[in-house]
Amino acid sequence: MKNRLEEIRNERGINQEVLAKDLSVSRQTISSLENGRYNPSIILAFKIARYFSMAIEDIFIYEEDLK
Amino acid sequence: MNKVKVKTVEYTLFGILGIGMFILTEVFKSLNTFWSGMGIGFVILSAIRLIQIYRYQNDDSYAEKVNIQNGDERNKFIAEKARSMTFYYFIIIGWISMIVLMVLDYKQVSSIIGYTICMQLVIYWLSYLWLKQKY
Repeated sequence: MKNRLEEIRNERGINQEVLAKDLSVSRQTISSLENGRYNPSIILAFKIARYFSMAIEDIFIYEEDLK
Repeated sequence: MNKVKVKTVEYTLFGILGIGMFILTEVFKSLNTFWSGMGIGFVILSAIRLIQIYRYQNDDSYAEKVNIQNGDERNKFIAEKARSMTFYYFIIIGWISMIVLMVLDYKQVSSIIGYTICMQLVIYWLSYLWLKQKY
């Protein structure tokens, strides 16, 4: 699943370390999410969306929607 | 009793067991040397775990790091996937070993491997059926 996590994070001036700590995950998880190597659980996706005060669909792009 | 205290007691008992095994083997000569080695292993393992528990209780940044590592969903996903792959390759390697050993006339060893594989597959299918009901 594609996502705009890195783009949004950089816009807000937050580094991976800080984001990981605030979400109670490891920095490697944030890195894997941004690289598309790992898809978050629905709970983590909600936490990320709430953290940025955005809708899940604005951060995570379901690939069928791109077609 | 909280989880950390339970773990402290468990690993302390583990260490005492290890010391006991070592003493029974080396001092009283009641057991063979295999148990002395195992006893040393238990003592080393319990010492490492007790040091980790001490750090967890006294170092907030270490405790936070451990909590994140243990709770991180990606780490859990990787651990589950690794367990699944281990089971899969264990069955394949076991099956091949069983055939090779049977051909080489090691029938007893081959049978033991066969029973182990069967037992794992039975446990897998029972677990699958139970989880299917649960979820």
